[in-house]
Amino acid sequence: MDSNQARDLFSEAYEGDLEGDQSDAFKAALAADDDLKAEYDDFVETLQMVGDLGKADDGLPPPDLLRGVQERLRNRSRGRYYRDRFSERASMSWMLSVMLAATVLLLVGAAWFVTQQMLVDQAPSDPPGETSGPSTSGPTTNEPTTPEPTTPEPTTPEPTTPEPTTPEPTTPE
Amino acid sequence: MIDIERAAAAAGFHVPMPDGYEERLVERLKRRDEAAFNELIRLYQGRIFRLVFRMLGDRAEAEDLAQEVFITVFKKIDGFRGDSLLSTWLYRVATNQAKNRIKYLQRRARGKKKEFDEIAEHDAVSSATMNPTSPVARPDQMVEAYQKEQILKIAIDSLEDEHKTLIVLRDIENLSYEEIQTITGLAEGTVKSRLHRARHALRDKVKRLAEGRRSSVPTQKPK
Repeated sequence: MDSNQARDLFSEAYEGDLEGDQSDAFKAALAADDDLKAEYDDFVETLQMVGDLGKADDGLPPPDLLRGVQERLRNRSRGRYYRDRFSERASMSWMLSVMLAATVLLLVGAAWFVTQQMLVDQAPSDPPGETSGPSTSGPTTNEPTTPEPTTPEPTTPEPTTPEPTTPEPTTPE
Repeated sequence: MIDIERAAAAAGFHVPMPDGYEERLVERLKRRDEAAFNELIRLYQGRIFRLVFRMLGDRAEAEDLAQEVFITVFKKIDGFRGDSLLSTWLYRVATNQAKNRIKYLQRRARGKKKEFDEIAEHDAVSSATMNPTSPVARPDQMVEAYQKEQILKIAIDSLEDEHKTLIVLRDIENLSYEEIQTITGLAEGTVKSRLHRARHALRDKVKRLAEGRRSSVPTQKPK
């Protein structure tokens, strides 16, 4: 085996694939040629260094790789995947919408209540002669005063709103 | 972290899985089960990142590409027919994407070559010893080891794409020839002969770079 033939077997020798006569011939070729031997040692050293690269800690993945993939998938699927986290992040705007709706409902309710109160206030007052307010004389008690039952007098319902009066035609004198 | 993820952290590329685990995982992935996908990423993120990092030689690009690999897996998992191991299929996806990214970067002329002299002292101390379990070396030995490592990385980076792929798959990731055949689509004899050429090319490049480095170091003249 000459040097060139031996050089072609560097990979197989490195991987331990040479057997029997071939292995012996390879060793003999290295022993006969110092340059070839140095070249083979260099070859082996290089490959061992390459193998060590796999153990180096600069090949460790970034800690946020999973999160990065999730974010990209969520963005590209427009929220179809990994939506939960998106919901959590978007919870502020969601809460804002709910609070706004609740405020509007509250305002509408308050307006309705005030309107009702105004209608009640415009209702007909009690007939003259009856006092509906609390008496200013006499002892005052903390007990709640219940209105005494009064026998309702038959009353003819009066229109609550004044009848429209048709203006009399004025004739020029 | 579940048990299999702990095992994955300590294993080689092929994570030892209980019987039927991989089939169930693939089934869940095809249903776009997000929990299954998280599991897949946790299992393989280290190996996929290391592969693309070794092929690209740039950490930022590798971080971006590793994410893209998993997104491709998420989208294309229906195309996995189970003819090979899931890990081998993942490797094929990652290798193809890394090759495409290298071409893209070359077009953009963004392939960068770092100068040997850009050795930050902090980096030199933290990663000079290539084997972290080795005894503490002297500072000059650490710097020398670091420089050798940098030369090696530059040499790998400057290899032809196919040579680089084969070196990374076989000599860094320790994949079998059968797995490399599946990933690259090359016949076994072709893989072996091209790998042999790639190793010689790498050794020559390392030698040239080391000689260039030695000749560029200024010799101090005594005053």
